[in-house]
Amino acid sequence: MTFAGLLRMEAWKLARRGRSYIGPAGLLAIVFPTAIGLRYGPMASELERYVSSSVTVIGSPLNALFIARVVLPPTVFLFLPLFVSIVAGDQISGESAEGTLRALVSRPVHRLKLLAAKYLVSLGYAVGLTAFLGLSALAVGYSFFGMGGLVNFWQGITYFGVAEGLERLALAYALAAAYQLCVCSVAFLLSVFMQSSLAPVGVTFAIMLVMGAVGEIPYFERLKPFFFTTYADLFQKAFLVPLDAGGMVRGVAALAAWTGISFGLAAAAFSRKDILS
Amino acid sequence: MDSLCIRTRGLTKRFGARTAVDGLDLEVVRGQTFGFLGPNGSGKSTTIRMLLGLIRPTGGEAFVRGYSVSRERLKALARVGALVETPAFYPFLTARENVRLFGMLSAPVSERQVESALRTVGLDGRMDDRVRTFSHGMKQRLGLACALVAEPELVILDEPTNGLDPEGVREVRELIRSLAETREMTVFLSSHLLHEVEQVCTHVAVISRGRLQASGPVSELVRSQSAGVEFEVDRPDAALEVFRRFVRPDALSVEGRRVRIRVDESEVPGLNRALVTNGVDVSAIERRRRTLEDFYMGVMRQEGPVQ
Repeated sequence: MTFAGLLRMEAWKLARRGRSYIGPAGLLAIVFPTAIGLRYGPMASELERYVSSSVTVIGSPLNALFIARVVLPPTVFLFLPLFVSIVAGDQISGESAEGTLRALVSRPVHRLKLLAAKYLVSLGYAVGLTAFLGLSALAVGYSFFGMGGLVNFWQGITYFGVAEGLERLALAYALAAAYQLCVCSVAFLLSVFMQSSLAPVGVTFAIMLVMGAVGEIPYFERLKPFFFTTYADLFQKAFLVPLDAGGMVRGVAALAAWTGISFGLAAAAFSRKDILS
Repeated sequence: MDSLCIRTRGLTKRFGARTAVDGLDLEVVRGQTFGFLGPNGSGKSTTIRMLLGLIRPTGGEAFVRGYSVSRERLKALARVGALVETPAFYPFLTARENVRLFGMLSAPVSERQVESALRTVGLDGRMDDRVRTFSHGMKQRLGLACALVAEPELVILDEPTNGLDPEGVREVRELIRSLAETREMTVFLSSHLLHEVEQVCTHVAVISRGRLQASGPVSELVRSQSAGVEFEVDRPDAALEVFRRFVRPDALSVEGRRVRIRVDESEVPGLNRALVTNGVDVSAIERRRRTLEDFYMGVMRQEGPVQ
């Protein structure tokens, strides 16, 4: 089977699996309550009063762009890694647990091509899920509040018009996707070594927690740039004025290194792995 | 073209200190229906996994269709269908989708081939049902369909009748026979069901503790074993006492009132006289047909190379 055929097969399997839809459903379960809470809760008027005292806003600060902005931090740090690792962590370990891995590998299929197809499909899922979050937040925000400029609260209050706000959001979501690709790669690597589809999810989160905690200890300050969790908030740089291009490039490079090394290790392990399940 | 479909030379697999397969030399000629026998844990499944490239040998080499599995795995497995232990599928896909998916990994398969494979194993009525609704026996049949769909020249089947009812066992037996006879496939069959193996296989190999104990054509191996005679007597213990004067203890066995003794048939009248003289009533004497089971049990008792 050609590599393109393997890719199609893996994408088709992913689309048919029920667990692939946990992520989109979970994200909608975050986006909708956020919009409902802001629309009908007491925050709306307080927010408008607070923002209008600091910057000049055309229209309401509560709009589609604001919803897309406000859902980013909790999802990037917690929910997207969870949903992405549920799918990526299942790619090899889930097949191993179900016994289908031996059925796949006992066919005349190149192991590395099979692994690469699974990996690319996982990466596609991670990017797609991040994009889904942005588009669904914009759509839900638009239906609740309409369109307007973007008010940003990170490191002071800044305001961007609709066009620039959309550009900044697109950049922020791209950086968020880069972090999810890294998380996806780590979960995928762990998947090669484990027999349970949930174990890679747990271990990925354990690694993230340990890196996050160790990175905060001043003694280990020098190690911090080497932890991928250091770049979890890379998306925030998309809202700085002026843009910190150097910081973004360094962050993306670090995440790309983690991504590449994780897949390299997964490939080395999988090509020599005895399929005993 | 190499006449050997499977060849192993000193094939060895160690898991830590445990040797699962120990210097196995095996030859399966094209067109044979080859039975691979051995007790649980004897190394059968490990051997099959090495033949399919699922695990890497610690030593030696396996060749399938003339290609080294270690160095040319894709060529070796290009026309091989396999069912390894309990068949596994994607439960969220239908039987048709599973067969198509696994078939396409071996070769492009048409919808007609998919349906034909499912019909062959008797699943034509459940083609579009999700596999999660299938019984164990149905999954076993589906595994066979997946192994056959790409019309391979070698089929490796590891315990294909596991979980099947007697009717299913009979159908699979007929299927395996037809694979060799009408489709000219080579079949490598691992099974515990010696009666089934005897009925469908032309050749067998017996493996124990990872080592080859015997191999050859079924007809020759079965003939090489002394079949024995069964005496139905009123006092089996007394009969055993009498027989021990004529043969070694390992040539004797008892099942209820039937005492089995491995001797040449010319000795039967003398044995009968000895029983009667010693006050043992004989109600029946029956010549036992030689079976593969006799051969297998004989090899297992000896635990040494027979041929």
